[in-house]
Amino acid sequence: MIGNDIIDLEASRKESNWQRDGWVQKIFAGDEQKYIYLSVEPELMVWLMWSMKEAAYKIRNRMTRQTFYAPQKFVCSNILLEQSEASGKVTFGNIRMITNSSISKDYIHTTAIMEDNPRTINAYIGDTAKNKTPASGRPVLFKDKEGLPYLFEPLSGKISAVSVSHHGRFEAIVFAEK
Amino acid sequence: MEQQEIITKMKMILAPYIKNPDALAHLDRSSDFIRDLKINSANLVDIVLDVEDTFDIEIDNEAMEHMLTVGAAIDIIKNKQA
Repeated sequence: MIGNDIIDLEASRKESNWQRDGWVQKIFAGDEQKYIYLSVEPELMVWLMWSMKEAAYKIRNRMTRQTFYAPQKFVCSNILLEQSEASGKVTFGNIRMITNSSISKDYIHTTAIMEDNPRTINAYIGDTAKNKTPASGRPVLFKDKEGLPYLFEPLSGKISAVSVSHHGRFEAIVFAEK
Repeated sequence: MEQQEIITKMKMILAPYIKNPDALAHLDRSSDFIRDLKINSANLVDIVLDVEDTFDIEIDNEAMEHMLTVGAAIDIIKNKQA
């Protein structure tokens, strides 16, 4: 099981005001709020933890197909934030997940895996505006009858189950190495 | 408050967050905020806060968990106002 989430930081700035009264309190529990308010970059911490929760939600959603909106039930901890990457843990009840994030000035991309089933993850991050013209050899995304996404790589002929995320200018496709 | 009045107010709340304007015209109880209206999941919090302000109610985490459709939001509003 893998999950991922990409956040276009320019789009999130336009679409959301994380400093709005009550916003942080609805999404983040006490210890998570400490991460935000003790950070030198609170905005980055907000979106890093949001992407961790979303990536973890996608794992849970794929396991059970249940949809719900309970950001506080996905609890972020053990966050290590460096210049262009971060790692952390997310727990949902007794489900424990590990997250890894790559961070640029334009986006945050987070992948989540189950703690008891560590996998190496491959990620393609595309700029949706630039990727409009198809190129031969580029992997092709398709969905099965249930709507679950897969990736076909023309060069190797390989087909992999993938997790897809898009926001603003960016689309991310991730899959576990076999 | 009548259902129609709540729906009218809900449309005003949702409009700024909807990326699919056609969906607003066809909005009904079964409209799913994320799947049908293409609302960014981070903006669901704004919708919860807007609903709290507009209807002068408090939406706790338990209610928020199920607030994924127009119908669910209406039921929560009616329930809290009762």
